[in-house]
Amino acid sequence: MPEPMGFFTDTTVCIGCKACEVACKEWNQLPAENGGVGELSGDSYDNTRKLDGIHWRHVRFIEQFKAPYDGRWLMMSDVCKHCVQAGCLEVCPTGAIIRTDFDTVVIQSDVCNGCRACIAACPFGVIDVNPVSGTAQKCTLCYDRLKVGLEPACSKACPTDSIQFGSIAELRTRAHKRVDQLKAQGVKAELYGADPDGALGGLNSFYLLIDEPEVYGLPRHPQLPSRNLTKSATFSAASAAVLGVLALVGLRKRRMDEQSRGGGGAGNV
Amino acid sequence: MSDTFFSAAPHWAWFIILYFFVGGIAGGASLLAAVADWFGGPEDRPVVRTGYNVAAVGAILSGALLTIDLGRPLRFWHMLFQSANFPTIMFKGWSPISFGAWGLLLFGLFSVLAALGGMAEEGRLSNPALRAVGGAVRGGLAKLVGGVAGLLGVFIAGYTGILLAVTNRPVWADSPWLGALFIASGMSTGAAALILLAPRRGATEQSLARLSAFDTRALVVELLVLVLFLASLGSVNRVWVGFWGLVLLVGVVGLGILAPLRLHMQRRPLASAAKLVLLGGFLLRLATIFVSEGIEHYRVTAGM
Amino acid sequence: MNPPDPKTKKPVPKGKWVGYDVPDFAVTKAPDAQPKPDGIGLDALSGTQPFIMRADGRGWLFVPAGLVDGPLPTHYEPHESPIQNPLYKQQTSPVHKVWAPGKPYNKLAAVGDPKFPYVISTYRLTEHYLAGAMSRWLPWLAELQPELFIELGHDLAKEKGIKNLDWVVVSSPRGHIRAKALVTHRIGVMHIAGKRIHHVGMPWHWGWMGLSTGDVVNDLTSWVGDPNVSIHEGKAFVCNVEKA
Repeated sequence: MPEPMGFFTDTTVCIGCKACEVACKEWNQLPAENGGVGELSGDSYDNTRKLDGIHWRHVRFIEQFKAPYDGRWLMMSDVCKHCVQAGCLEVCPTGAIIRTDFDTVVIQSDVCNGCRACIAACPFGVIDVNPVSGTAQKCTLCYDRLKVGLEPACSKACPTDSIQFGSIAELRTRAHKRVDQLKAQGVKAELYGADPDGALGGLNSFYLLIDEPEVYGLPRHPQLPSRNLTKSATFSAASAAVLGVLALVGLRKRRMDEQSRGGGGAGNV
Repeated sequence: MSDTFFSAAPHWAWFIILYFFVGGIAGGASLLAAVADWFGGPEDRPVVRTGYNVAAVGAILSGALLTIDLGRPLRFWHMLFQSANFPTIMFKGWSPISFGAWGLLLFGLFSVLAALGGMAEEGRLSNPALRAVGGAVRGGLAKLVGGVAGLLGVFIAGYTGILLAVTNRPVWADSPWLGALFIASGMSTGAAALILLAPRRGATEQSLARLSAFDTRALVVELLVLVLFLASLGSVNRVWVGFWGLVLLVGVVGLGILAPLRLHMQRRPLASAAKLVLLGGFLLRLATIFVSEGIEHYRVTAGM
Repeated sequence: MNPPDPKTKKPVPKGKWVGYDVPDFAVTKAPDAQPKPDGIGLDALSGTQPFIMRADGRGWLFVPAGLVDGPLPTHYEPHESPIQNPLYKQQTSPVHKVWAPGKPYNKLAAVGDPKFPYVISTYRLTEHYLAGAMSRWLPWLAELQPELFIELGHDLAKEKGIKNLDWVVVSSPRGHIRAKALVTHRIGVMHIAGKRIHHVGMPWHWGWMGLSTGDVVNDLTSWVGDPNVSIHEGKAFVCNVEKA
């Protein structure tokens, strides 16, 4: 059984070239939106806006400027996090979403029926429907390439090695070294998703960030959808019990003398 | 900003809203029918039979709506059986969509049987096969089938609220009260549907009056749970500033709860109150779904 | 003893150049090596002559022939500029090329022309290639940068009432084009020679055919060129920007 594999993305060396976006589309033969005819988003150099069924890599551009020429431009290639505890996998009612032998999370396109529960379950908003197939699709961490010993298309294309592919253990070691190196230079560097005792058991696609997660569009405390199951079910049961009792009291057969007393009025509240 | 604002909208829209509405009515009608069946008098039979019929039609309609909504409708059965290992069952007890699919199937089965039993009782089945099935569902068996249909009905009315909570979407996953709210609404709309439909089956004034009294209490519970729901949202309540907040306030609370309550207390005609309750139930599903559907991270950061 | 190789940290055998870079010359040539008497090519160079692209193996600061200007670079203003050259009386390079001078299709702005008060640069994006004739037909590239835009600072946007994504008209003495505004702090006001000059910029990848179309930015540039290789002065000239 191969060991867990995934991505470590060092956003400090990302140059925003979007080679990862295009390499991913080329390998997976994803269509361009509206045939490639689009409108300027106005959001810096980001015209992709979000991960969806036909965008499995999305480069974010965050301009942080106090005044002209005074500031920095953060860039980050967003992708499915391949969570160790995956919310999408949890709710999928067809069993289409599985964990592979590489500890990655994959949607089996021939099983998915497009119910879209996974889209709502993902804490990172990574999944969406591919209009061509009608099913939910997302990054597969190039499962087909991994099976034949190749690295994913995006990490292969990345010219600065911002996206690094490898075994999670090795990547975590590398990432911690890089964080130490940056901190020694006075950069506020933190890893997001590299802690196996942290949120979701760790992310098999984790990041090095130099600002708060929200700045990069990442939730600070991503959680599994099932956290709400018990409470929601309990309150529902309580509500059902109250209404059941009210129905019982209201509709049960009246005794003869009640009925003879002027034909049961509209009732008191 | 709540972590739920970083997730993506699942595009659950009109088919799902209609399903929640129809399923709520079917579930509520089914429970009321079962209670009247088990604990009511012979004058309540029209209400019982109407209730099971509403439940059965609602269940079938629900199944149709859900199937049409799928991206690949012909694969609906993948939620019931493993597509690669048919006929191995596909079931996840921790996923509302999974146990809901099975729940709806069973509810459909039992409500149709109960309805057939009721129609056989009235002598309204002409098709020999249906008459045979309906005829078999009588006496103690009919009560059992009806009882199960009633219990499953409550489940159907409420599990959809749990389904919304077991996500990472704003509003839905920010409160534990949606399931409770949908059950209350299912009961009030179920009663309203019976008030409108049972007269043509011969329901007595007394039966209708009792349904109306129950509806009043259900509306009060619904209002209470709605308040608890909103209170539990905390700062997320800012999502209501806008069109959907208006729908919630004017449509759901005003037209759907307060107006029918007032009508009931003034002993006004039952039918208009019932129609308002149905409108309110529909608007509740509409507002809770669409208010969340409109929120996605990039839209929030772009100030949309 | 040689210090260890900084890249591999392994001890280095004597007689070999090490380091992060890969040297152009023979890696075993000692610094005190002498050129071979009948040597051909690299053998004619000593150990202190590593610039193998020059005949004498030495680094040159300037060339004595082949260029029309030099020997050392200095500062000249572009042909169109909002300011006088702050260093010299000579405003522009005395040997820069001007084609079709005085012709109506190559009108040139005088220094500090108030009709064209902003400095404009043109540059490239990663997603498109050159004039975009190929890249604007490729769906995966066209969707990454779907429209021509002009980047301008918040100060200029405020002054001219331009909001992000508004259509604007960009004009120069040669003509005018339309583009959407991308308002950003990455470009903006500069203080030069005591004046407050707005700097704007445009990628020049657009034309009228393809999945992604837009006006041609080179309609704004002038027929003024580099003294030696004639590249036209597209990186710095003057313009005006108005809300459309």
